[in-house]
Amino acid sequence: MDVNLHHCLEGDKQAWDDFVQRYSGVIYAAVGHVFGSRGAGSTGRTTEDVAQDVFVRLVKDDYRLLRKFEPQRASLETWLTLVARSVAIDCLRKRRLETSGLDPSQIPAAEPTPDGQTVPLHLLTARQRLVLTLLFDEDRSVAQAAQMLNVDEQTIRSTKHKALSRLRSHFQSR
Amino acid sequence: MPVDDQKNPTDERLWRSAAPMKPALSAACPGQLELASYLDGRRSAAEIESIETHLVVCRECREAVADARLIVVATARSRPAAPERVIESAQALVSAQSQPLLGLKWRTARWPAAAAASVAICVFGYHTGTAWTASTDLRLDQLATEMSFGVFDPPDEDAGEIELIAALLTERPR
Repeated sequence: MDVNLHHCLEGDKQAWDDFVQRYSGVIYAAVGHVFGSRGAGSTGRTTEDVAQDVFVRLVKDDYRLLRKFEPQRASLETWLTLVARSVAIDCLRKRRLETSGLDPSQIPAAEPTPDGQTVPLHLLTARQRLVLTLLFDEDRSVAQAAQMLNVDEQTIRSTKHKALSRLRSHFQSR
Repeated sequence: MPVDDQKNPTDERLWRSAAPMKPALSAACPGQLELASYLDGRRSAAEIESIETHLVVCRECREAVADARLIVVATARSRPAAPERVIESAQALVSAQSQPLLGLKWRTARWPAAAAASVAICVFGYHTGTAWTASTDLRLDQLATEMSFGVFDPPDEDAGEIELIAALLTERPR
């Protein structure tokens, strides 16, 4: 089904209906993945509820969020997946704060956590450091790292091998 | 599992000993469009290096990329469908009059007639005991969502009706 996003943003009802028909599955799957992998039992909200929240955010304030999408930069499926995942994570985070007795409005937005083990800059490429982080710090398998970075498993093994060789050389020369 | 993939404590120690420095996050997290673009392979080599440098030190973004990749791969394979109820609710967010119901700037405007009418229908049905229809159910869901997002901001004199909506949501047949 072709979806005319431009018509959709102009308020065309049929275009919006087509958009929902075409992308509701992706949004529903993304929310379901977050709830399935992290547990949503305590939120009191279902996957259906949160999927609906995603659509609400997309159209709110004259499609403010949906207008941010730029088709030349990414596919709509991938962008909506990230948006839906983010809404689901926010839902879980909000519930955790509420159940902890803290006032969510008093809590600043979560800051990313610098947790990666790194090596002297320029010794390894970002890709090499990322691969070692995924394999050693996060205990991901070669297959998982390969999927995440959208490369084959042999590429991950090769990247890891080269990175470790560089590290050995670095320490042997010191 | 290939021998190469097995955990090698020596390699792991090498990686950890090579991490005397833990740099702070050098930049803000990439936006969702940027991450989507990265996931879709639409970034230049320099941009990939920049994003992966961030991923090494930011667990939240790493998780976002890993989750999104899993979801995108799974949905491309199986084309999941959302429940009909989710599709209907989402489609109802945009009216046939080319206006997203939630795109209305209700915070600054008067409570719109459409919302007042919806509440009146629900209230009337509640008081008279008329049949509870699927559309009543759907509209109640929408009102609840809109209130939770703060876009549904009726004037104080309608507080009684809002309480009644809450009661309807609690008591409606399932």
